[in-house]
Amino acid sequence: MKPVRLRIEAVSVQLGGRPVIKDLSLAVEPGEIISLLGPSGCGKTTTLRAVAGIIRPDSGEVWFDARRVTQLPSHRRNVGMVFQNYALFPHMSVIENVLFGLKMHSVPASERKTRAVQALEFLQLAAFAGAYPDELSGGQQQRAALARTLVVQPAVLLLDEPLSALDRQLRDVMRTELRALLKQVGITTVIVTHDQQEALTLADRVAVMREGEIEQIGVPRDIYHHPANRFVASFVGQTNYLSGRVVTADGGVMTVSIGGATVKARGARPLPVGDRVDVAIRPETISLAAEGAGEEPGHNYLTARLCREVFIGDSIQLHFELADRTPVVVAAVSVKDSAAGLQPGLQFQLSWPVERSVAFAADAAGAKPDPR
Amino acid sequence: MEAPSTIPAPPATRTSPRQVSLWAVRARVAGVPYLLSLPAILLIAMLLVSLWGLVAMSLGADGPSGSPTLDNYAKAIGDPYYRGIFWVSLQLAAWTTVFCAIFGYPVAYYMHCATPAVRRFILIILVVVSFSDYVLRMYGLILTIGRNGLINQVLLASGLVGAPVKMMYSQLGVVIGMVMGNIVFMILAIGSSLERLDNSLPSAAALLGANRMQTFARITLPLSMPGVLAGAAIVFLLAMASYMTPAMLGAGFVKMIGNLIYEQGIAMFDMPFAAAISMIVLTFSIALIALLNLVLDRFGRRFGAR
Amino acid sequence: MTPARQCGVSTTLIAWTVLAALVVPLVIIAVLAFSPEMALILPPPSFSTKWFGELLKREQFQTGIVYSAQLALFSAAFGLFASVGVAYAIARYRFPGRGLIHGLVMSPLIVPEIVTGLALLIWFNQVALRWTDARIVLLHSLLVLPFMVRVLTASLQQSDRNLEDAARLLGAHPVTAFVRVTLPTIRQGIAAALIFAVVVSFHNFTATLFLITNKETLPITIFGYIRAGGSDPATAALSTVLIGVTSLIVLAVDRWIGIERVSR
Repeated sequence: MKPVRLRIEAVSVQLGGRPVIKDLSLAVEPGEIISLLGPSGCGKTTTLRAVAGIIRPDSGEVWFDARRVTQLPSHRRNVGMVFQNYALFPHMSVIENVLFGLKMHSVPASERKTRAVQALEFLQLAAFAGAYPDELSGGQQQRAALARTLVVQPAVLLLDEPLSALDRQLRDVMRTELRALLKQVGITTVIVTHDQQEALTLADRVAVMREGEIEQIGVPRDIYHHPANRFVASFVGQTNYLSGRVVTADGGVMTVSIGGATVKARGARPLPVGDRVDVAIRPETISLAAEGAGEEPGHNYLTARLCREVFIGDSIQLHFELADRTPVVVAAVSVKDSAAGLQPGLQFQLSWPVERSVAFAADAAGAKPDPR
Repeated sequence: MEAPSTIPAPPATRTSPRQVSLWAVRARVAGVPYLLSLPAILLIAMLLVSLWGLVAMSLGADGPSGSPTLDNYAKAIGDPYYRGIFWVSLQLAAWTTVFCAIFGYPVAYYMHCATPAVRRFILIILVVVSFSDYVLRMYGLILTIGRNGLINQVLLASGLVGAPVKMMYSQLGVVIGMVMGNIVFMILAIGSSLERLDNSLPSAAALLGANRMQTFARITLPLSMPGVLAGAAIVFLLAMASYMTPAMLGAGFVKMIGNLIYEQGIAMFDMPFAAAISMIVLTFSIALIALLNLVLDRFGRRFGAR
Repeated sequence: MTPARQCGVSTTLIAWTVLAALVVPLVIIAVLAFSPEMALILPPPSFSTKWFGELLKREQFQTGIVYSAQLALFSAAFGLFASVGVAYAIARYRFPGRGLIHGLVMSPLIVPEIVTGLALLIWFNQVALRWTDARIVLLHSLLVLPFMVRVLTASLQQSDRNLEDAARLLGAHPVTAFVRVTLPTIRQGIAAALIFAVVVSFHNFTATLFLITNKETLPITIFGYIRAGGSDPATAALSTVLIGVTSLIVLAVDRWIGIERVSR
């Protein structure tokens, strides 16, 4: 089947009197995998349901290519969805589950069997054809659900928290496998998740949502390194926020005074001189050097006192304090960084590339309490 | 010889009213649940002992003393008159069950799809009806389907029939009565199994292309079967051993096992015979429940039960 | 916004028809009770409460009500006494025989009422328990036991066992902990169980029929009246009162406890 272009146009949904999705627009290119990422209650699952036809939007339209599907009932949309709990029919065996959609689409009996078997083989479940869902492991259930959904060749595939029901180790393995599989099938996909690792790994593009609106949409790298606002910066990955005041604004790059020192940062939006800002830097972009070491162009430098080390396992977190007692967390990814010499109480020089930090207005978009 | 090594004595504990030695606590805790269950167990024991007495009575010719004999059972099964009563009871119970299922399912399903407010309203109606005296409900039914009842008055007045339709004093009337009397149990049984239905399943079916009818027939109905079967078992047993409904609505024209037992036991004072009939009914009841459990175990998978 | 599950028109129609069919008989009784005529005439010519007045003259009904009420109260109380203990044991403890005890407690459900009635009659005669009232209370307690236990175990399972443990750790004697911490949290379950027991006991007919001697319970009295034929609308008046009281009780229960608790 040729992959379709999914277009969500100004969709709004109210549930129980409360607006859940506000005027949301989104276009997914044919064959693209897009992830809706956000905290619970942000409207991502509702968006998925609107595309599936489980709920109808109060306003707006949903298009599959040139087909307007907004008012069509689910069984006429040719949309595939894998539910969070997989929703495998417990009273049918795996192959009967897979055959179900084919029967509903009136595929002739001879063809049905072949396609079902093919689907199971594709997902490496051929050995479990006769098993019942409650006999399968979590990973197997997911594959069964995928087989059932993909065998009817839907125009659009929807995944609701695909990996959340799996345990940690399986999740890591399935992440790469799932993306490979989806790319192989080449179907337009929307994945809903609250787990940012899932979103960044699985998707071609990520749409970060909050309270019914898309805060930012872009490729994973952009979302991570150039968050549009505080919410996105906080929701995706860890962030340090250093408060300061704008001293000069020169094109995109401003000079901000923090404590006694100055740093340069690019603003998410242009900000006037004198405004209070928060400079956001990710813990892993900060490097250590001994106090008073040399400076390179294009980098910021701040002096800080080491408070303590926290051992996380695969990395070590170093907690620093600036002169004005602002906490800064630095992630030392390799253990060798934590060599002798890192003693609490000593002063160190923290540095990071200017391009890797963003400055947000101190009480701006993200005025809502940030989810730290 | 060396003195055997002694296990050091536990340090002397100063016991306050709250501190008790470990053993006493263990012993007390172990016995507690049994102690708590005692009054209930005694009540049940009373039931079991009396049932045993019933068996004994049924095996006696005239009272429990005397050598055990199967005469009463022979009479109950052998005599075509009594066999006929068993047969009628089973038949009427079967019809009742079927109609309760047919008419009860829509109500349960409607409740399932309805808004919580409507569901509560219906539940209240059902509870009020089932809490009302059974005698009253039958009385109301008599006023409704009787010769001079509501239905006949409406039918006569509208000219649809020339003479009153006879519904009472017949098997039809008894079945109507038993359906009305027991349908609530069926509704509640089906309702609870519908409630346990995972909501994502019908959605998944729809997404796979099933229209409403197909979703219902292939997903909802099979998965609610355990509830239907449980309800059917309850209704069948209640209907089969029914006394009051045939007494009031059948009034001598329809005789069921319940009436027979009362008549033999109280009116004719033939206790042993009444006991034998009762034991047959009880055996049937236990067998039915066992059968239900068996079916659910073996075929439970086909119904989504585990 | 449309929900995924909807009911067809036919389902809705059948559902409401069945519900109406259940309610109509009760309503008809009220119609008869409020009409001045001896027989059911539709539509009733006028509104009259004379049969309610007649009711007060029917001593039999009055003794019936009193007797049934007394029995119901004692049965509910005794039933509660028996069921609280076993419900607590089943809900809070793991002990050998737990499943067996649970099964035993539920067993009265399998035995048809007639059989129970007959069996107890024979046994009570054998052990020479002649006191009719005691007989009936024991019977009713037995009949309501499974329901009360079910409601109470559900209630106990929902209440947090940690609360009671916390109380004990703070020094409370187990019984004190139960009375002051757990009991208040299962208040609603207890109330539901009691109401259920009172209603079931009050209305019980078949099994009670075997055990009554000279005093009649209300359902049996009404039964006798109706069987005797001869239309006596005072019966309808009484019925209307009973239905009215039942409705009020149910509505009150729903307000206070929530109707879901009482339905199995």
